[in-house]
Amino acid sequence: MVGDMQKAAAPDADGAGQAVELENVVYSWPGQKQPILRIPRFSLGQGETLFLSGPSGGGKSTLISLVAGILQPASGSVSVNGVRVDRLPGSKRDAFRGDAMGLIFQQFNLIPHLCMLDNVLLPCRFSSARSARAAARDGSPEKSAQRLLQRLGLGQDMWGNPVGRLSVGQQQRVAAARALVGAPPLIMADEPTSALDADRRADFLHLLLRECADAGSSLLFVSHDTTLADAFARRASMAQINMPCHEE
Amino acid sequence: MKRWRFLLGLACSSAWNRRGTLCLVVFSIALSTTLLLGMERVRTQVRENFMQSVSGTDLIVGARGSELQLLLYAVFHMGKASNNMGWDSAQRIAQRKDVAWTIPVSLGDSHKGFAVVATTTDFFTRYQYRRHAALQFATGRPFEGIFDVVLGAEVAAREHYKPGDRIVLSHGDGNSLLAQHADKPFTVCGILAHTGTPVDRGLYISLAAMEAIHIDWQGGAPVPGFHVRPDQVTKFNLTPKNVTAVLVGLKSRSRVFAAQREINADQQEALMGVMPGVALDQLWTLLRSGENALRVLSWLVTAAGLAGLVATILAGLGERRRELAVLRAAGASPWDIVALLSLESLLLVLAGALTGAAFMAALLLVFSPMLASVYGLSLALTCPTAAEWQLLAGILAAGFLAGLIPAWRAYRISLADGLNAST
Repeated sequence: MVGDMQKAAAPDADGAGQAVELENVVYSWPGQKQPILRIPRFSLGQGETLFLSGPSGGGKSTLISLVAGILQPASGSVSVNGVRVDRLPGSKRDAFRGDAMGLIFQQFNLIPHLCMLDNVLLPCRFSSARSARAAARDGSPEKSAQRLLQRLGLGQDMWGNPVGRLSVGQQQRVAAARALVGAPPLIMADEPTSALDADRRADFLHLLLRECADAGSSLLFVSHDTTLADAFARRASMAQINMPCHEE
Repeated sequence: MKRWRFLLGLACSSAWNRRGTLCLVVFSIALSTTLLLGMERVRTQVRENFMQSVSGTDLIVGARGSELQLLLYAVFHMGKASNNMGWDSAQRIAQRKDVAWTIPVSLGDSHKGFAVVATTTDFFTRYQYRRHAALQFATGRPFEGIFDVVLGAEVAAREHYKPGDRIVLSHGDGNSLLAQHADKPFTVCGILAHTGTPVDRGLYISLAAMEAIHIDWQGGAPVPGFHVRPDQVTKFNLTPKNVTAVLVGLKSRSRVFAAQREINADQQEALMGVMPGVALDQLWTLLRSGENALRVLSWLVTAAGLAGLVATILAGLGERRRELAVLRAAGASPWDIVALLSLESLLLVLAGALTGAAFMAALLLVFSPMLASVYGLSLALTCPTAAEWQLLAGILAAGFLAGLIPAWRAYRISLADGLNAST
């Protein structure tokens, strides 16, 4: 049992260089025979930024849940930073997600009854690795959160405010700060700009890319809005990587 | 540890955010806590009060009959009058070798609802309450003249009497306007200090005075055409013919069973010696089923309060699905979600229990003077007793168990939703 876990946590030789690596992953919703995802091979390099496009309901969010270890594939392997996420036991998967990943959703990213700063610090409360990295960089997790908020254009006067009264654009920037705090190696964003106006989208994307580069994090950006794709190092579509109808 | 502290803070913040709805839940838990604690407090204090009133008395001797009736009537001035015993028997008991002191008491008359107790001056020196406390005079002195009366603290306080005031006693329970001893008024000569026992609610006259006011009475009414003026009463023989009971203090408590046996076997009169503690136990046994019914009822009220708590948290979970998903994304496990929801319920129950305890303290503060004056029941505002701590712990435990229901539901929700909860 202990041996298994060590094996699961140890990077395998060829996956060590990749931020994300999926091989022969099959996933179907409970009770359904037809898989929604069948991904022969998908990878994201360290520090790479990838724009993944696809229609709504095309399995983009499911892919993110699989990488995050919230969902388990029926078969195949899911590795993040060389760690076999699909082989980690439940509690370790949750802890690993907190340590290694920052997530941004379309909207409603924030805990409404916490202030801005506490929302950003949330991952540091669950992951001591995030907390330690943030402290190593800025002196303390709080200082790290403050630096990120400042860099994302959210001034000191707002930090203690309840987040309920923020505009959607501000909320998404708080969510970005939360994903980035403690520099997790992998940031995943699921349609983070679709609730924003067109001119805010580019701003947000620009800030996000800049901060990912600064933190050295890889970015998996999922969106149906291909006008944003040019800013990314690599582009892919769900149609290219997902082959649900192919039988092996 | 750090994780728990964070979850606790999160639970607090979440509960505070929904305080408008939750304060009603806390209030209902507080009410049931007050009910449970109040019941326990009244129950134990009533017992304590009763026990304290007779703590210095080894035996109560009266005419043979119901032990409980004699005790309640002679000491607590409650219930039906018991039969009288002869004065010669009272004297015979006083002369026993193992008897340290006796206090004969004769009841029957009243004044504004308070019992009039005819006794001897030994009452003021020998009667003990609350382990070994003796009676004290707040002002004045024991009765000396025939028409002197000593008042209990409560009587003086409620009627604003002071030494020198003249008062009229009523025959019997005082319900009949005709049955007043108006021709022989008494003068207040002393007022006893507060004791927290039925002593506070009595008026004390000498046995001779009791005889004197009834010289010209027969069968509960003045004898027509026969009237004795107050200044003439000393010409009559004022030795009592009988008394209600005799309170007995023994030289050695170890003699109590032997003395009781011998008094019960008295050759000249059908007497009965009652050990106050034993008779009180009979009373508590009688009351037990009623107490149990009340206790069950209080716990049902508590259960209703907790059901309200569960329903409110469950109803709130729907709009918090997004919040749970955000926590999961930040690295929370489903068990963290369970802990969060359990802590939230526990916090609410804790707040309710503490509020309830505070309610009870406030009620005690407000109502204990009233309870003391109307029922002679002194409820002290003290720290919770061991039994009350147990009740509080029981409420918290029940609250924790009830809180597992929404916690389990949140666990299921967060497993099913993952990161994709829609609002």
